[in-house]
Amino acid sequence: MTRVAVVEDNEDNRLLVGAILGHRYEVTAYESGRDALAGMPDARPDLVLLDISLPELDGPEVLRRLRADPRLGAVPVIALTAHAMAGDRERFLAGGFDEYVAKPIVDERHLLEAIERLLTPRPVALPALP
Amino acid sequence: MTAPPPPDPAALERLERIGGATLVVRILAIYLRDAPLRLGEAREALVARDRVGLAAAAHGLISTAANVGAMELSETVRALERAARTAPWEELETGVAAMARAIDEVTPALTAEWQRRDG
Repeated sequence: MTRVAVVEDNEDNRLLVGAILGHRYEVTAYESGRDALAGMPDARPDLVLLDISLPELDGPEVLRRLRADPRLGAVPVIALTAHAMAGDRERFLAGGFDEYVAKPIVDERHLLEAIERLLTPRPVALPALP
Repeated sequence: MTAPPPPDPAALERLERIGGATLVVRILAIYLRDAPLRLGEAREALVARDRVGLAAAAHGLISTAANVGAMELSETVRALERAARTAPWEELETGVAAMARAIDEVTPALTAEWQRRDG
């Protein structure tokens, strides 16, 4: 079963995301960036949902450490944020996140579609035949 | 005087559809636990003139309020979080008062929902 890690300090958001995804994926929830970085190498996820505003290690710092880890560097990471300011999406994508989902998650389809987009293998461009 | 805006019932219906009655009760309980805590932290941050603490207290309630349909409270704390970084303290005092008012407006109905479903 596809594994999704959720890194989120808000307990209600962890519960909500777990309920949305629990039927489709194996979900592991972490309360902090530190817990996630400690736990993920032994339970390598196929995709990570990462809150931006975490205490201590914030989302961008957790992402930087994930990318620097050869075991986890290629895992797609979706930014979760309640900021939802103009330009957020572009800023997070430019910062190395693969996708961006605004909180509160008022329509779970946005989250599910973003996850499916990243988990679906993209077609590989083949060289033209001679 | 107009009646306060009620929590949006569609939010609780949505939670029920996603995770059943158990999810609704658990998320209502988290709101009822966290709303007074975050308000207390916001008031302490005001007294201490702690902008980071005030932003964190406000931020912590944005999703929690929206998840139970308290949309006006969610927008109030979102605006307070943004203002916390730079706005004058008198304005932030008004913002924390608005947060307290928005909590007072929705909490009785959410408490009743929690009691009805948990009972």
